[in-house]
Amino acid sequence: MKHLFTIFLIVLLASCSHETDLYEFRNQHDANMLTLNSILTPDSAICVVATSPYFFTDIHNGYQYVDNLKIDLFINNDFKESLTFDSDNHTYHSNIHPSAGDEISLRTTYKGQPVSASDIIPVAPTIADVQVKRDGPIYVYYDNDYVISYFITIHDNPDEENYYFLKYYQPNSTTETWMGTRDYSHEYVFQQLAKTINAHVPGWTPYSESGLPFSDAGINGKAHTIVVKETIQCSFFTAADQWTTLPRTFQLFAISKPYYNYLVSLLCDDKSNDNIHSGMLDLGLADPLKIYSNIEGGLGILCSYTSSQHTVDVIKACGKFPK
Amino acid sequence: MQPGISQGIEGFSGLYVHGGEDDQNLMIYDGMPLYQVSHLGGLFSSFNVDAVRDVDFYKTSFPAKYGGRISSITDISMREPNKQKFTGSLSLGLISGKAYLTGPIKTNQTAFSLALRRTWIDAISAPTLAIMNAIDKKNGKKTIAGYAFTDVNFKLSHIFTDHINASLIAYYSKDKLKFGEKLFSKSNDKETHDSGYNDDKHNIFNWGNQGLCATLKFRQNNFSTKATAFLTEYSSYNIQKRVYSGDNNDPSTLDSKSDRTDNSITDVGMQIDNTLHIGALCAISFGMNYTHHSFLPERTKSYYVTKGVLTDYNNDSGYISGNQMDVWASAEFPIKNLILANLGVRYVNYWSCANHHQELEPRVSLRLGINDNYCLKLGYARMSQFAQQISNNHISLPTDLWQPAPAHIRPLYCHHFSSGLYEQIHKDYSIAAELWYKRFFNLLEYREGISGLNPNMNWQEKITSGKGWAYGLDFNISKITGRLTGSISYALMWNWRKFSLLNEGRKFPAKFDNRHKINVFANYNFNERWSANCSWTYTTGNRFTLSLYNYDTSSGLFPDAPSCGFGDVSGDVITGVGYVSSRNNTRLPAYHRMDIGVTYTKKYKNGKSGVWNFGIYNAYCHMNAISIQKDEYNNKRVDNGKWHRVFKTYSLIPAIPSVSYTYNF
Repeated sequence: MKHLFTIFLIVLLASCSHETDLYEFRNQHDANMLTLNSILTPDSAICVVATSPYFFTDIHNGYQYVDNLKIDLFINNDFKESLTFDSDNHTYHSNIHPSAGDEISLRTTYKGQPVSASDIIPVAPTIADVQVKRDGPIYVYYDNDYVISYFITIHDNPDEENYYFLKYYQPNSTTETWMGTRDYSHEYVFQQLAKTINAHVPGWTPYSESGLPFSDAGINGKAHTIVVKETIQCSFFTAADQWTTLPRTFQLFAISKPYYNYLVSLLCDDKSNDNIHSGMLDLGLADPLKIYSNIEGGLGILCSYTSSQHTVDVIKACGKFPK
Repeated sequence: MQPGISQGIEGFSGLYVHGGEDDQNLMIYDGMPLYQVSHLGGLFSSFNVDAVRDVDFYKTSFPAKYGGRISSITDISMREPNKQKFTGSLSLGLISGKAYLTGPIKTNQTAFSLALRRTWIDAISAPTLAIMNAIDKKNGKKTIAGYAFTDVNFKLSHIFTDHINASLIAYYSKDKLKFGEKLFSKSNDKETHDSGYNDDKHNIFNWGNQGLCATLKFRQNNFSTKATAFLTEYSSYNIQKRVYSGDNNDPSTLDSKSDRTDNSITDVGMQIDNTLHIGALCAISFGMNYTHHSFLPERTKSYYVTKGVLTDYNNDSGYISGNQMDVWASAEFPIKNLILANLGVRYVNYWSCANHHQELEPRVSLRLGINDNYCLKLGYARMSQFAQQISNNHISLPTDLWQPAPAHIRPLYCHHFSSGLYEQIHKDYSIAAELWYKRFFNLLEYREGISGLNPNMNWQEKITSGKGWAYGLDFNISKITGRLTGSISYALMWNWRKFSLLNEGRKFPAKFDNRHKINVFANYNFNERWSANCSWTYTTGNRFTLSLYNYDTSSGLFPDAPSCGFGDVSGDVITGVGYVSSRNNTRLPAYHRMDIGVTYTKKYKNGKSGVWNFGIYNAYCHMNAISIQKDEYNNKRVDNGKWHRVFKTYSLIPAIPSVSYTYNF
């Protein structure tokens, strides 16, 4: 009886989480999907990486390259060449640099399945002006913090839907100066992004070091001044008044529509937010989002960008930091 | 549980009838339409059975007097209060208690009944939590959890004359669930008073119904009429709150964030039902209903306090009014003593500030008597529905938002066909086999990638509509007399959905596309004192969207290209992103469970009785999975230098023993 009770208790208190194998759902269709990834820019020769997907619980320590493809390159529907496989880098490449406005198409066959994709290289954007304003010292984290506001003016082309990506950073990292906390959340175009990716607008703190995409919805065809901020924490020991230069580079990318859709879907699928939906995504309780792909018959992304950049010096624009 | 009906996800009980959704079931509680009546856990009945007299349940061949939901009708009648003497019962169990009292206010004329029920899971789990938190304190962690529900049923009944009586009913039910955790500096003795950090995160879910209903009944000879007026309110909210303090001695380090989403429906209405019996087999029924709905589809209030600066934000849909006027008539009559026909029609007129819809709902039910033991039934019904509860999670939270038909989408409607063969084999046994087919139009779902809790979007922007179809076979054999009674039932079902904006416009299986379902139930009366029952259920697992394969993204391959920082490379682990091949592409493991109960009844000499109930829910402790997680980070292990990732199932309810004692007086 005592043993029975013990066994009962063990069963009763059995863990609520178990590992499970889902081998019964392995299927050749999914396993045979070819993944093509290629991000095109006029600054680089065309380069394509082909890999194959893997069952989630399979050992996967490195990319599973597919090296036996014949990938045909078309530019504006004209066949140019078949890409060459570089066995050192495991990439398929061409010596051709695409130009803005070119429609780049890739076509191949993998395990009897035709796989293709195309994208149009966007026209390079222009940063018309960058203005800087410094507030501080004020209390944000501690008593001696500064909030730098950047006003980046761009001109959107009214004839088409345009998609952009903005990142800003310190071009040369030094031990004396550093990049503060980025804040995109006050800007209209990023508030529109927040709306799309289920994030709150107030208090939405992406702090993205990598940058964020945005569309021209709401600013189509207009000159628009994007306002982003940076908070620099200066402690008692920071000799900010000694700084003679504080450069900031603003890189504005024009990205293609597939690129924008792809980045937005990655942001939507982010499980690290502390809202209920992200929590349920993480636990597998909410439907995962399909990451955008424009590869017909396969997975991955063929997308493109062009960019321009503008560097400003905060010290030159606003003067030296006070003592 | 009847064949063709699923109870949904374990722990989040619902009712999924013939491929329908949980929101498609009309629950009428003595004349009051109620929304979302389920309690959490699946251990408790939706209503206090002490207060219930009988339940009429329809899953096919819907009478014309019912409308407003498309999948099933549950018409619950409360027990009539005792007009002669005071009686009642008091029941105490491990996790809940209930009381029922009825008696006359004026003998044979006016009487009342009152039923109360409350769980004390919150109270009995408190010591366990306290022990757990005492152990976790040295790790700087405190778990916050609690669940309770309360319901109250009151009925006042009065007989005016032999032909006229009236009643007044009040209903209240409220559920509250709270969970979360508090992290604090390990060195603190009192986590809120010393310096150190605090991170308090918790969620609260609250939902329930309340209502009042007055009924006047008149009956004379073959004619009866019933007039009902009601006021009901369903409301739910969820709160997600986080309070963080970097240094408890420094108020300036306090950050707090709170989001609250409210949803409600208030109905005010009246209904008149009339029935005229002509002979033994003929009857004509007709009536009308008017209901004014006031919907609050979504009200999200968010506030953030950072460094002493308050930012708040509201996404308030405002209240939306809808008016529904239904007129119906039906006739039941025999055709050449061979067929009993019930033909009816319901005309529904719905209007609000944004839209106006009219629906004509024919209802046909034919019963063909083949001989004394066999009969064949054919049925058709068209049903419509003007509010849907939309969910974009697998567990269908009770606080998922009820939303009226948006201005740009027609209301939900459904064609329901059924045919069944019924046989009385022997006086003890009956068999029923039923084929059914159902077609849904204008089902609502959230658009792909849009969270129902997205605070920046108007509720109508989040929604898309589509269609569905389901078909299947229900089979049931019952033994209805003798010491041993019980039933064995089997259901076979297919359930599909198709939305132009979901799954790339391709059809996909519905969440509750449970192919097979088997129920076995047996009850044995040993003698007047002892009886035992056992039930076993098996259901093919629910459908589930899971990316089984991962593929590489561009992030690690093109490092100079714009990226949001979500790569597929983390240290030396290349994870990639999930490939979602199609919606609901996977099944959870099959659900099965056995419940056992034993009842001992003792009758006392004074006419009172005591009943002991012993039971085990999920007797062989099968941990039924409610979800599958792709565990990329927390459970990886090294085997010969290789990373392993795992799928993990989450389960909720182990074996739960129960004991209760009921004293009937």
